Amino acid sequence: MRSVLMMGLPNVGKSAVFNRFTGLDAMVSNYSGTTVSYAEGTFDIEGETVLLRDAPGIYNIKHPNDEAERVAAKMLDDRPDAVLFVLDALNLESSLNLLLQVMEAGIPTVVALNRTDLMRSRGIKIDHVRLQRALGVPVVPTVALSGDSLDLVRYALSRELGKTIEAVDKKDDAARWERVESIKRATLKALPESNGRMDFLIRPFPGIPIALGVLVLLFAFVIGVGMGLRQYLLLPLFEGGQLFGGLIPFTIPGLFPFIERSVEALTDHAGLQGVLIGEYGFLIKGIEWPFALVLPYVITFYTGISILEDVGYLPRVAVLLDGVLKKIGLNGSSIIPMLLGYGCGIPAIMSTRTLQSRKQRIMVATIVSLAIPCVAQMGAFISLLAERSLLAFIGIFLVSIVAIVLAGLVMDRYQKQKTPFTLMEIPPLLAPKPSILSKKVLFRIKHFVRDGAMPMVIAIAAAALLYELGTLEAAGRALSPVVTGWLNLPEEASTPLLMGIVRRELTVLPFIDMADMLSTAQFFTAALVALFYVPCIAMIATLSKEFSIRTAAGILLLTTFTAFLVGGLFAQLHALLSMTL
Amino acid sequence: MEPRKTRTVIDGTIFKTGSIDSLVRGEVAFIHDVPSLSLLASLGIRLGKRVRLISKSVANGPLILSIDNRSVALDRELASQITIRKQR
Repeated sequence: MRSVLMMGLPNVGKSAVFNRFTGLDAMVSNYSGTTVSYAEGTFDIEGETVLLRDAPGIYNIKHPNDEAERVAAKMLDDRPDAVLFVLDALNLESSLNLLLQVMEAGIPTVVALNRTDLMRSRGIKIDHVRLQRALGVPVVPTVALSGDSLDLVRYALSRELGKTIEAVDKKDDAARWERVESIKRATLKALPESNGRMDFLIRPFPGIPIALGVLVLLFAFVIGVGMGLRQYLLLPLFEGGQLFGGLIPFTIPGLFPFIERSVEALTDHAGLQGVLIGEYGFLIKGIEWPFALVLPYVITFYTGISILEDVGYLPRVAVLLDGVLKKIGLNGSSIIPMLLGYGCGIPAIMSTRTLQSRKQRIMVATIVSLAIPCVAQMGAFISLLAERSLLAFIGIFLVSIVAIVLAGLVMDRYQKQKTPFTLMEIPPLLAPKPSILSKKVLFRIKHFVRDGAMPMVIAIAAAALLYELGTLEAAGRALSPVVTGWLNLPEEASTPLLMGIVRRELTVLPFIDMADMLSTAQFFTAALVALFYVPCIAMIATLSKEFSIRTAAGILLLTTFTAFLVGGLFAQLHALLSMTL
Repeated sequence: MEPRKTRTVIDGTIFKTGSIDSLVRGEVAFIHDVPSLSLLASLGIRLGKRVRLISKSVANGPLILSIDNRSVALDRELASQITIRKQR
């Protein structure tokens, strides 16, 4: 099969072009480096099925600086039959420099001059006819997000595929930049000085207060709207009652009462009833936990974070906090994987690929595994703590932040490697497109249902079975010295600890049903243990894939040890204090 | 190598060289000398380019520059190796 390689700078809409052509759901977002792992798909050129590969967005291939540039250079070395170069109309200079480097490979090239809508709205004009003449390859003005003119790109590709190029013009860096400048002068008609109206967002004041405000708003939105969804929509649906607090005067019978009645009608067998609707009955808990307790927060978190991504606000937070994060051995860019970690650890760990050094990657991955609760776990914390003691809930978040700082400081001291310097472009702010945004949020929710909720249902089913068989009880007895003696929790608490290995929130959720037998202090102990406890199985797998089995095992040991240490210390201190008081 | 001039007078206007981190917010200057680093060049930090300082981040964080309508965050350590020529 013949192949076309897509190349271009980071953040120019390559993924959007790719999605338009292949119909695949690759991610489209507005911060550098979303496509470090490249996407591949097929598309149709005049009846021929052609392989389309999307190289990571990069600035140059002659002197690769990082993983992404090495990957892109390798993909070009594989000699595709044509290159589709996505040229950023907003950033002609760097795009041309990369394009000239790519053209030195002597592969037929088509240029899509992308983001022409933004170019026009900013008063920039590029003479694409002259550009085509100067470059000697077809140049098609496009708007990838709306799919405008992509059929012309396809046509141009059909003409170029299979052509051979005889003369290749190779230049050294200085000469290439000269050529870039001269092409730019000949084709760029107007470049008005930026009015700097949005510059205040990247000045320490008011930029930092605004950034903190935005993050607080994000979490307020995630928690507030999530709780609302659960209270007024999902709980009535599952448990019966009136939707939207009686706004619609119609009482829904509810799914769970129906399931319970049906199971009771179908079987008298106590064991079977137990597995289906008992303590860990998976027809009840297997639906309630993933869909009523966790899903609302998954929806609100990904809505919030996707808006911030698409607006292009996150790199601004990164730059504002860069100096502060350097103090704990991280840099500004690590804020993006860390924020993603509040959604799910897996994309967070994968997005550490955009960080420059291995040291940074391991540090951020460890912090995400150790101290950052994923959205499912956060939903569980909200259900467990916020409704009982808001103070305890805020306490858990403070502990999490202190742990991030401490982990950073310790690892920075331990790893002698220097933190790499910061050098990054801050992409322009964009108004998010509702159609793209909703597609992305839906994609992420689907991902949660498939890769998060389904394993959870299976784990709950397994737990239900083991519970009925008495295996959980036996395991609980084995763990009980630690659980009752050190953590001051009842013996039943060992079950969630065992289940937590599969999914992080499963360490938290079973405690909700133990509400009557636990004090607030015990709740807090359980939450502390859960916060630091083992990352889920999928995260451990991701860690060993991204780094090594040794690193994954190390992180696993570290998190488990920290969980029991911190939880136990709190429990013992609390016991000591309440005895003396 | 010829010694670096610190003052140049062109048509009655005095230009002075200095490190790029000596710029104050809103100040405009031209790049005079820059380490050869491909990423710097790609981000527009090249000889003769006109830059404007948008801001300096706190806690010794990066400088934020505006070059050809792009905003670029530049580490202080790297910034100290770049000299500019500014009007005074």
